[in-house]
Amino acid sequence: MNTPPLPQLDPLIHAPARLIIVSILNAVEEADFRYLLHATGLTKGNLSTHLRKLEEGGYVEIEKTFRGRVPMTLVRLTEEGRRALARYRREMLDFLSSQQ
Amino acid sequence: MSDIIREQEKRVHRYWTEDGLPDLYIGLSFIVYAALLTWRVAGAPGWAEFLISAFPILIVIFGRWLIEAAKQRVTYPRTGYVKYPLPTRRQVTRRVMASLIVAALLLAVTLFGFLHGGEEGGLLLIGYLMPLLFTFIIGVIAYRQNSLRYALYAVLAGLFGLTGAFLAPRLPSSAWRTAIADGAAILFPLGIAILIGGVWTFLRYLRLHPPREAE
Repeated sequence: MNTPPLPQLDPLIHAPARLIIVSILNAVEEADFRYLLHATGLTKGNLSTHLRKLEEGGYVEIEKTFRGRVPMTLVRLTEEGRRALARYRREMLDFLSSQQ
Repeated sequence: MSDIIREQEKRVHRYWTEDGLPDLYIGLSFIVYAALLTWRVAGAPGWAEFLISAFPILIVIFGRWLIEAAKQRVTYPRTGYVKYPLPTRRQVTRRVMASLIVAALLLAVTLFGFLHGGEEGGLLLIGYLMPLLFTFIIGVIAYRQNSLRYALYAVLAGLFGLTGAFLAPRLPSSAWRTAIADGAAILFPLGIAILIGGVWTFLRYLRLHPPREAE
C-alpha cells in the first residue's frame, strides 16, 4: 500500500495534553491556571511543565496577578500560538483526508 | 483531531452555564416577566406599562453583570476564571442580520394571520410562532455548548408553547388568550423548568467543587 508520508507536525502542539491546553486557550481571551486545571484534569506539576514549554516556544503568555487579594496566574495564547494551532489543524486534516 | 479541538471549544462555551447560575437568573427572569404580562392582562395600572415593556431590556442589561458578580464569588474561586473574547465585527453583523430577517419573517407571518384570520387568527399565529422561536434560540445555545440540559429546555419550550397555543382558543376569556399570545403561557412553565434545572445544576456544582485554597 502506498502510504503518504506523515506531515512534520509541530511537536509542541502534537502532545495530547498541550493540544488540549492550546485548544482551550484558542477559544478564550484568557483563562487562569485554576480553570486549566479544571478543564484538563492534569496535576498542578504537569500543567506547569506543559505551560512552561508552551511559553518557551512563544505560544502562550503567562501573567502573575491578583484578583482582589487572591493571587492568580493568567494564561493567554499568543498570535504565534493561534497561527501554530491553525497550521497544525490544517496539516492533520490534510493528512487524514489523504488517508481516505 | 479536529473533533478534539472543537470539543474543547464547546467545553469552554459550556463552562459559562456549568455552575447553573445563568439558569437561575434566566428561570427567575422568565417567571417574573410572565407574572408581569399576566398582571397587564388582568388590568395593571398605567404606570406599570413602562416597567412591563422595559423588563426584557432590563433582563439583558443587568443579566451579564449580575451573573458575572455571582461567578466572581462562587465559580472563579472553585473552578477558575475564563474571559471570553468579544464577538468580532463580522459575528455582530451576522447576528444582527439574522435577527432582522427573523423579525421580518415573524412580522410578515403575523400580518398574514391578522389579514386572513382577523385578530383571533393573528394572535393564534403568534402563539404558535413564539415557541418555535424559543426552541430555535435555546437549541442554538444547546448546540454551541453541546449541552443536553439546554437541549431539554429547547424541547420543553416547544412543548409548553405549542400546548399553550393549542389551548388558547378553547379558553373562555379573550384576555387570557392575549396573555398566551404575549408569551406568558410559555415563559411561566419554561421559567419554572429552567429554575429547577438551575437549582439542581448549582447544588451539584457546589457538591462536586468545594472551595479550593489559593494557587
